[in-house]
Amino acid sequence: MSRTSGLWLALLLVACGDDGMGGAAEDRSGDGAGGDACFSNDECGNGYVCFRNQCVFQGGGGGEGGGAGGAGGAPPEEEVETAAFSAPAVGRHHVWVANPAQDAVVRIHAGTLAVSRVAVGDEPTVVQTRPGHDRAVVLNRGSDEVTLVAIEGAAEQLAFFPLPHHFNAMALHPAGRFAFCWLDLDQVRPGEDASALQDVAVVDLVDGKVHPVVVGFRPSRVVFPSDGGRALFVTEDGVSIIDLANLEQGHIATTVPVAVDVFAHADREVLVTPDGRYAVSRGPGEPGVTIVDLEEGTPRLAGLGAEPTDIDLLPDGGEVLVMLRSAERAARVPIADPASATFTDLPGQRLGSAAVSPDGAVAVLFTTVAREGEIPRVTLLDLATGDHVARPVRKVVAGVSVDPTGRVAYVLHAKKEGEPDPALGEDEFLARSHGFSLLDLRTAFTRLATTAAAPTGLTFTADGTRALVLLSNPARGVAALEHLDLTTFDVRTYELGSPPEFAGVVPELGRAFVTQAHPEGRISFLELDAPETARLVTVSGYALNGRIE
Amino acid sequence: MRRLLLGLLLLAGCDRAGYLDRPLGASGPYALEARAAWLLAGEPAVAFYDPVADDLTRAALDADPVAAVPTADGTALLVLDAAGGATWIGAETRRYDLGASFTAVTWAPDGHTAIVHHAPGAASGPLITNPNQIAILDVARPAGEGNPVRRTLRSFGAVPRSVVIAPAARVAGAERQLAWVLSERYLALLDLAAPTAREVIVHLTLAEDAREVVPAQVVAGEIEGRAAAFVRAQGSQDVFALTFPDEAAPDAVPRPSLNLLPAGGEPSDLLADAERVFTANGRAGTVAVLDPVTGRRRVVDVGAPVARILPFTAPRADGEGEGRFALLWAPGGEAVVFADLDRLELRAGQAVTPLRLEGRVVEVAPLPGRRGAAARLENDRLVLLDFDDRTATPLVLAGGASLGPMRVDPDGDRVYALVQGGPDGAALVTVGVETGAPTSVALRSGARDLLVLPAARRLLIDHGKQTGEITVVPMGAAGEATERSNLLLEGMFDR
Repeated sequence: MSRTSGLWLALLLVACGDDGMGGAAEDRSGDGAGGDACFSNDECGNGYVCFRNQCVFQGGGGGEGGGAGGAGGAPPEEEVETAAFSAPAVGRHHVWVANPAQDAVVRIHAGTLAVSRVAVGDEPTVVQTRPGHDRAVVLNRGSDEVTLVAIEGAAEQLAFFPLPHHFNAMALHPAGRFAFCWLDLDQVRPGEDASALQDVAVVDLVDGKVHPVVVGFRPSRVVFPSDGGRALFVTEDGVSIIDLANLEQGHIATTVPVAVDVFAHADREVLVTPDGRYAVSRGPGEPGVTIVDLEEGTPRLAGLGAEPTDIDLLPDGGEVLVMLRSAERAARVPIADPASATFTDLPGQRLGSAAVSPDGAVAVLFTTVAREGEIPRVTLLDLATGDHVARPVRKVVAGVSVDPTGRVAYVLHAKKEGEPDPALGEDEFLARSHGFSLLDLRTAFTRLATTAAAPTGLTFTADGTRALVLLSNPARGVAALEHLDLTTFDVRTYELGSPPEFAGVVPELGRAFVTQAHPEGRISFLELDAPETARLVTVSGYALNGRIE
Repeated sequence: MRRLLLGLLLLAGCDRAGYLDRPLGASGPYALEARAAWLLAGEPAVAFYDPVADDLTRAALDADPVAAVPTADGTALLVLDAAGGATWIGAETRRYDLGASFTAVTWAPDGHTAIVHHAPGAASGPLITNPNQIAILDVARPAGEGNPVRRTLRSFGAVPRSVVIAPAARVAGAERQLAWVLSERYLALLDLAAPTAREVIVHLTLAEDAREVVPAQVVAGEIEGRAAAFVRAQGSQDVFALTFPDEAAPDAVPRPSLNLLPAGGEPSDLLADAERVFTANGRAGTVAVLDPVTGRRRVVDVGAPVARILPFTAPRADGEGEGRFALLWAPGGEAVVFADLDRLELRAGQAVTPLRLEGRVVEVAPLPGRRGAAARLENDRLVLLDFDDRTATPLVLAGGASLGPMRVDPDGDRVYALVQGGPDGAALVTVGVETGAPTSVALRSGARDLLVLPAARRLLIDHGKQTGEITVVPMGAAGEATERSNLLLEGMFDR
């Protein structure tokens, strides 16, 4: 070999050797610190697991911490629903607020703050709109009629629809043609007519006809399947099906039982798949979930070996996630084939509740039961792989909601009795504080925010970048809107002039709103696009605008 | 004897003016720029006295006078009479038929437009009136079609308490002159540029709200460049912010939108600038700074009851140009407060400086052309307030003397006051503002009122006699005072 050839060979060997020693560009082992991308646990460092392509530290006993699981006698999960239930309705540009005292609804333009008052029937209590449209449907509780308010230029056109019975609840079909009215017994006032316990009125807002329908006992809510052709009422007799193409005067809706035992329809959690094909439910003492094909009509128990403490439909409607706290496991049950249910064991983790991300990628598992000596936790379950990681949180969990994009979970915390006093030590101070946490579902990073009052009225923006939470404690003078940046986890507090009631977002104008308790009406608007410079603009006395004549 | 009796018979048959058999019925005097005026109900007429020429003239009236109001510039007098008319006496005399016997006049800032209305609780007048009747009058034009405009406002059971007329401005896309008629629980909004347009009623409470909310003050302002009005009301802890639309028909009254600004207390006075609204909250001892856009407020404790806001501009001590300040005070309060309005919202307590006075404040009069004011206290002290130095210079009367009406020289150089019960009896006190040096001149009898006649450079002291007993004092030359008695009888027998 000539000197030149040898030199080239040596160079080649060195080059190959460098590659052979594990090119740094491809080295994914090593420290594997949290947040590093990964494809398997091997790529993460000691104590780390690869969860959703992120190395997440779990420590030595991160997945199996806690004491031995106990069964029986444990208190039920009491998950606090943190989703907003805005009594005001949001149209395209307007927020509509019912003003029962003035027999009117008020619409406030979220951009110009112009206020218009529209006289409707007696005591309007429910107003609904179709998102993106400036048309409102109003239930007038005092005069038992529905009013349709349509904006025509600068004026409003009104249509009134008398109802056959007294109702106090209403829902609007997503397509906007039908309004459904029923009596919610939980909202009945003393002395109020509560005879329509099995009646629904379907108001056709186009042809003006009102169709009375008899449904199962005590309808509690209505679900609209994706096909748009039916309305499904969840009742204590089962699911009542209203076919919108065949509305007849005075017909009885087909009611499909959701429990195997006809005497076991009370106190059930009932879910309906988005396509309206199945209903899934759980009941006290039943060791599984009951699935019924609403077309076929026979409920069947899918035994899971333990009593479910929570059920959540996955977004595609094909499966239901079932929490089996006493068995320390979670089950994924295909609705059409429950026998092929799969289980995820969670040894040492007595988790009884779950919240599934809207994209169906991850579920946040938790328990609302506080146990002395146990560190509160949440467990993130990758629904694609079944992998799960546990994370400690600073306070007992009261509820979890996931933003529409599935990136961040809002964790509402419970509060222990007593005044938060730092002198009592960190743990006791935190336990006695109100607060919430923001949890990044990819990195599992958690940020705790304590608050001056119990957070309520959670509202996410559609793009999942922001959330709003209300704080109200009139006795302590606390009235505030919390703006949560779900990208940076920044929390900003805006003080309000009076206790907040409801919050929402006007997507077309990029503004959030919060209504507040005020004898003459108060609403504030916040620009969402630039929170660092955003002003909270408040209109107070908007009800008085109806008295400018 | 027979000739004597014949002469007496002849004299008894001569014509004799009726007014000579009636009481003089003098009321006033009213201060004009260069003259003083009295109403003589007995004649009826108005007597004008020119102190420079020492001349009394009379202008006859067609009916008994009920009330009189000088124009804003003081050059003329509008006299309301019992026959439902108004006589404007200025360079010429004009009478207007108002259609009702009114008792009050509110002038517009333009000086020639007025709303004539009923004063609440007026003692005199017809047996029965409709208090919601008004007349819109332009004294720059003769009486005729559309002048005055007589109308009756829509009412909701209340009696108008007062009228406020805003300066002419461009509002809702047209030149307008808005006027507000304030009644309990609501306001009526008029446009004097469209005097026959239907008024807009702004209710300040909901129908079922039983509170007594009485609008007391309307201040014109703007919100983000749009015309606005801010209303303060007794019985409410809010300021009512009324904003107008960008466009409205020129011949219609624009309909405002209402927003409540929480003031943090029941405000006693209101000040609005381009960006903020300030309220003085009376006994609460606070001032609120309100953002009319966001509704946000900052309530600042100023350490003393404050019910009045006297704004002024002054160079900033830190050299950052001119700033906005205010003197805050309250009738009956024992302190005044200097406030830096520009810094109040950010600095709160650091932006206020209270100044304790040895006595309760009765009135504060700003000194024209100066950054200062004169204050009269309940303990009969005069106090000169210097806004720049933030000082208070008291002037003490001799024991037993009591302080009466206080007036300020139109140039702001002197403060005048009547004193009773001093060593000289009645006296006129003059205080030079620059030096703080007081002088006094004795008056011959009890003095009831003190008038300033700016254009005549005279003070006129009314001694309260029906026939007109006055002392005329040249400003700055108190020693050259002249007295007149039975002034109003002059010339009566010559006609």
